[in-house]
Amino acid sequence: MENFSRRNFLKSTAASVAISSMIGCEQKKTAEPLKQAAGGSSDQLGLEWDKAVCRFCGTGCGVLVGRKDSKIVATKGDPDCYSNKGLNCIKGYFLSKILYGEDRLTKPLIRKNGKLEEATWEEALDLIASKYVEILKNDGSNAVAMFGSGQWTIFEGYAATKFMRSLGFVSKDGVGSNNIEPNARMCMASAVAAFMRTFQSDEPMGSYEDIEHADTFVLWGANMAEMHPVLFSRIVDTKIKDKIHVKLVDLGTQFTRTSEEADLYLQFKPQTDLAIANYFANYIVQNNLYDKDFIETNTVFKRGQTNIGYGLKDGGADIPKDAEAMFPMTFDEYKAFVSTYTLEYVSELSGVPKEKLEEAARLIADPKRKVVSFWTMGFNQHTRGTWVNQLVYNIHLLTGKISKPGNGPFSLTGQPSACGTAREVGTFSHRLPADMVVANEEHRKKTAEIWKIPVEKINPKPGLHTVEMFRAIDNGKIKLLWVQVTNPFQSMPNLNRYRKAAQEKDVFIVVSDVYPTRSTEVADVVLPSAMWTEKEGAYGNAERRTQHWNKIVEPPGEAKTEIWQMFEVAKRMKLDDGKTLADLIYNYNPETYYKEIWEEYRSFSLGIGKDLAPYDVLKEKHGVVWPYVHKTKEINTKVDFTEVWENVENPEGKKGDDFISVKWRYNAKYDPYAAKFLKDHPEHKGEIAFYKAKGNDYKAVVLAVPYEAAAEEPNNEFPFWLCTGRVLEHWHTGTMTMRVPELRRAVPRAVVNLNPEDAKTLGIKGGDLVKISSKRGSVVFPADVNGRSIPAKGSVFIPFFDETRMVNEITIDAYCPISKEPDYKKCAVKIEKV
Amino acid sequence: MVISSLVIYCHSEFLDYVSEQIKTLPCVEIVGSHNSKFAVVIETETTEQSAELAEEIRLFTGVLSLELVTHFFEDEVQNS
Repeated sequence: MENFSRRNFLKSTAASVAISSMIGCEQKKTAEPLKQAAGGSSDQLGLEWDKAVCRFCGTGCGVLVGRKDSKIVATKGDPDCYSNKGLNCIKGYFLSKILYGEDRLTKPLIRKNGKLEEATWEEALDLIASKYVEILKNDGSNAVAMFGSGQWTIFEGYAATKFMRSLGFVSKDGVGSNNIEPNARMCMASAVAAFMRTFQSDEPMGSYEDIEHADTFVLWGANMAEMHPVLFSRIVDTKIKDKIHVKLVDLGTQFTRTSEEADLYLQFKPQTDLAIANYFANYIVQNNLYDKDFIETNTVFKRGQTNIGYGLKDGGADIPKDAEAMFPMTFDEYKAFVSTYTLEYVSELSGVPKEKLEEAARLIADPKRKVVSFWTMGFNQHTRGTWVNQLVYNIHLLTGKISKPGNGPFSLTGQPSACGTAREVGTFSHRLPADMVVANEEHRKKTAEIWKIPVEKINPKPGLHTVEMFRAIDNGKIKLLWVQVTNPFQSMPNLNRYRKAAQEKDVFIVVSDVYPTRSTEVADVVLPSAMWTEKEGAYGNAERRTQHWNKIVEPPGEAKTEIWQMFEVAKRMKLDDGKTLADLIYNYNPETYYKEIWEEYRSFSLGIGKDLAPYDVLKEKHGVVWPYVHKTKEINTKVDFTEVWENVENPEGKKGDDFISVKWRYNAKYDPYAAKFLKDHPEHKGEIAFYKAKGNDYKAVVLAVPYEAAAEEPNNEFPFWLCTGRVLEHWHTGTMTMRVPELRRAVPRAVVNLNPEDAKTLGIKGGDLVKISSKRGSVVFPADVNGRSIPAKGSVFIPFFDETRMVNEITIDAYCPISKEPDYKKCAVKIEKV
Repeated sequence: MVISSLVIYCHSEFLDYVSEQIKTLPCVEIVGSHNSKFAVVIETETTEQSAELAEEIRLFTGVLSLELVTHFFEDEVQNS
């Protein structure tokens, strides 16, 4: 009877919460049994509830986690999180199961006589610290490197960047190491470079709420239905409300589940997105559909350096020194430049029918339409990734469709804290927190002041970016690599070179992870880590929302957090004065160090339009968007907004609050910084102000750059394009999702998706084994001819999650010369039936 | 006992069809509808069965997308 009642109670709860989510009202009003507070509270089912954020993609969906005894037994979408409004995608079914794979790493391992053997933490940490000291003393700080990820929590990324950049206290050269990179370099570095070059401030200006305000969605190579499903459902919901008027335009190189729902699908030849974006700009200009007042007030026109190389030679020897240069030009010169991207030329080049190109251009340029553009890896993993990001900004800048509800360019992210950790903390080899860079003396001074270390200890020379970091292992220059929370020895392009280097070169590799991976396989020491809700954490998602969670369950065995691991290694690095490195950089109270780390990190952000919320606010709220601006100078440290405060809306708060979360940056109606700028600059017309772009007189850059060919294109020997990516069931390199039996059964192995016509020509049927070869190697995959995604004729698609058949053995390590992001979407292969 | 609930987004002209199709599925109950959407509750023995039913629904003609809202799997954890 008790079970019956409990079952009925669960069902009625599930029903009421689903109805609330469907209607879109506040769930907590109808779902009282699940009402919970941050910090945990028990419900009538005896479950302890606490807030968390999904561990998978960059959408950053809030999740409520129900714990009973020591295990997670329930999850639900967090209705109080604005990012997902109570919804989770189907991966939510398996979210907590990633904790419970049978082969969790629970003890440190040290390689002895070629085999990884169990060891104590003392042994492992002593060994790592001794190797650091030995290499830093003998070879200097450039000989060590750290490779982390957009899955690092913000706390971890901050501790890591501080650790690496402070190694000058130990190294013979007296400066720290900037050889720290997140795998986000392979994920959204092109978006970062483009934001910085255009607006001099990273990350999107808009909000996911743009989806509810827009009527025209333009998706560039982004299969949102499978990769960002919750956001796609929000688009679908908007379409349902006005299905005649609302339009979804999908541009891509393969027909996907997203394409199925599009009103207009433009299949283009790889790399020709550059030409298509220029055609759209040409259409806007030639038809006088640009916003003259907006571009006069808010933009400056520039031409980019061309023929900038592909990074195929070590050290970027094939990249001209001025690859990043931008030169002034007039609007008329820009108009002449884009005029060569005619409908006829671009249709011929891209393979997109003229009428489709023109229809898309008409929708985008229509002054009455509100347009949001979305993209992810299709743009970012591109040897002209920075350019193509900027070309879409051009479209929004020319039309003035930016920084307004329902209007804006929006780069999505693939990892849960690509924004929060990799970008905002600044774990790239050239960056410091809050958009600062190591090469800038003022930025180093500010950093040294906050870290309380001599400025001379911070190395002014940018470190090695990801591809060059792994090439430096092969070239014998990197002698120690610590990998945390990622799996580069499966995910690097041109993988054979880098796996061979790891196994044969004199390099000491430490890997901190939760399961055995293809990276732990080449490690000298493996450290078992706590994951997700086994530790306190915070992530930052693609709409600038920072989300904090508490530790909810214990990690298994002897697994420890990466922060603890770094603290312990630093404690073992003795300095000449008897202190340790930890005494200098991690001098936090063991009881309160998360709060202390956060507040120290937060101090970088205040008063410069990057303002983060205080720790106590993050603990309480279900995600907070930055800038989280305080009204007065006492708190935000620099600016008094009192005179404009009442004119600024606060969509996630209420009138009269002392803090405003800025949902649309640069817009005076929503952003106190923009309102204050306009007050101080009465000559600046309109409501938009790119107040961070000081170097361009507070104007955004409209950039003229051409179509240039990919680094490697199909030829007689290798006649097909290869594109790689993800599938719905598996995330990243599958290290978590392949531990979930249900997902492993659903998609146990990677297959190669072929175009049916190509398959017929080659005599290949579904299930046949085929060898896919490039200049760099061969891998055998089963063929899938009628899969859920259908590549264009002349193209194949292979996902990269499968550790038994690693497609990256054949991908190319060419990269964008500006963002240094590799191109996983385009190389040339041949197909042979085995 | 695994109980989950989902929201299903549909083409308006297929609402009746999708509703009829869902009613043919065992363990799935429509608990509400609003503006071309359905709220459903799925009760199964395992999470895998629940996820498979969700995928089956997603493939029905007229279904645009589908998202998970709640997922209770206490018995599955305790029996593992």
